[in-house]
Amino acid sequence: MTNEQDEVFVLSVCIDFKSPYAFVAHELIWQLEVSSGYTVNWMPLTLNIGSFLGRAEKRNDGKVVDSNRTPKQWSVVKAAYREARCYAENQGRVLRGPLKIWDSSIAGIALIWAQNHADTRGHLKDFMTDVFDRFWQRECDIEDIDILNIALSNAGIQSEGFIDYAQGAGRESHDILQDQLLTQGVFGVPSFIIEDEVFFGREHLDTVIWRLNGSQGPMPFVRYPWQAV
Amino acid sequence: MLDYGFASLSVHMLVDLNEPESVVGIKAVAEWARDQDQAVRVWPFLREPINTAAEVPKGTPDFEAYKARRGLARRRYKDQERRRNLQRLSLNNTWKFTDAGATLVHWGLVRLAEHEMSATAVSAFVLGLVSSNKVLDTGCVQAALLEVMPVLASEMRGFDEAAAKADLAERSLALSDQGILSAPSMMYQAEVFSGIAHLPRLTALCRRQTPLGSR
Repeated sequence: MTNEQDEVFVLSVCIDFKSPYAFVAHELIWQLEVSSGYTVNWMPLTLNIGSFLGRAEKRNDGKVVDSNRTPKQWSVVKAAYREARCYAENQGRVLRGPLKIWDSSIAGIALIWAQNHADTRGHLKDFMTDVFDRFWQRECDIEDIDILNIALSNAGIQSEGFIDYAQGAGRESHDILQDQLLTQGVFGVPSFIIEDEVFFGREHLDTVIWRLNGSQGPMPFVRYPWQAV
Repeated sequence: MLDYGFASLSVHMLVDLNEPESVVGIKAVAEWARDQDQAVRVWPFLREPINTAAEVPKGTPDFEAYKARRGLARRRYKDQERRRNLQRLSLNNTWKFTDAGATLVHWGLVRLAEHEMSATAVSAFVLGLVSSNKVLDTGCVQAALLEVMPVLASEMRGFDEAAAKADLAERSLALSDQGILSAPSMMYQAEVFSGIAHLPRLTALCRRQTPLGSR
């Protein structure tokens, strides 16, 4: 894809299936791909949430059974979920807070696989939407390699070989990628990468498009799209 | 809880003028307020930025190394975003308030809000100040405040920096208790919106909740 100055841009987007912000952003990013004509290179950034928000685990009834979070960390987490739930509901999506901090690395490896093996962008979108929607309804165990294998297959993506990949080369690619992304300055999701520039959060979608289109005119302000998608 | 007379049909914006993000926020919200014909009051909120990672108990060396690398990535990103915000303000360099200048300008913001000054006027005042490429001391803040609101002259004669600083700290603490985590933030009918990116949602809320003809 080129802009008016014939510069070639690649738009990479980092997500993590366990992030509520990535959940409420992914449909918007797919819309950006359709409207802008730029093909998105999806990349997993597997967050270590315990390293910046502490850890917590709840029972099914919501009672906290294990946590090292401070009141300030809880208030940040609660505000984040309150906000994300509001945007999810406006999109007609269900967002139920997870009961534990999931290890989403296998889902991230499945994303790499899906991107490399999906015959069409529609298949890739179907896979991502299915995993996102079911995970946030607490109906998809993203730590279970067999469940992700079935999700690939259900989306019409070749799944044969995925399990071996996830336990070998896929894991290696994933881990190297985490290292590279951190070095590049990517620390949260969704993040958008255009050349060396990073934009963190869906509020930058307008600025990302502006940058992709050659930075003509004033740089837009940040905004979370609110119109239901 | 302190009562700052937050009118329920107004949007209240909380800012820290030391940060480009807040100044960009004032600019964006002022444009929005004008377009939406929506009352907005701009108030100070001066708290240390939240760093939740600093409160995470120490872990293994690998865990600590990850925390350090993520912290570095976050700081690098903040620098990028600061540069973008300066670009949004058409500025090349960031401004710097002296301690006393910062106290006076935030004290002044409270007075402007209490006098129900529009966000458009506050935006013009703030942008004029930070665009001057000077170290912003009490002299230039005072001149800018008097230009935008001459009636402040008598109040400013009795300005007590220490008392103003204590008052700003108390106000910010009270706002923290109401759920404000950082600046810029917005409040509308007791709901808190962190950052200015929620303006599209706020538009929908204000349209729904403001009776026709009352804005």
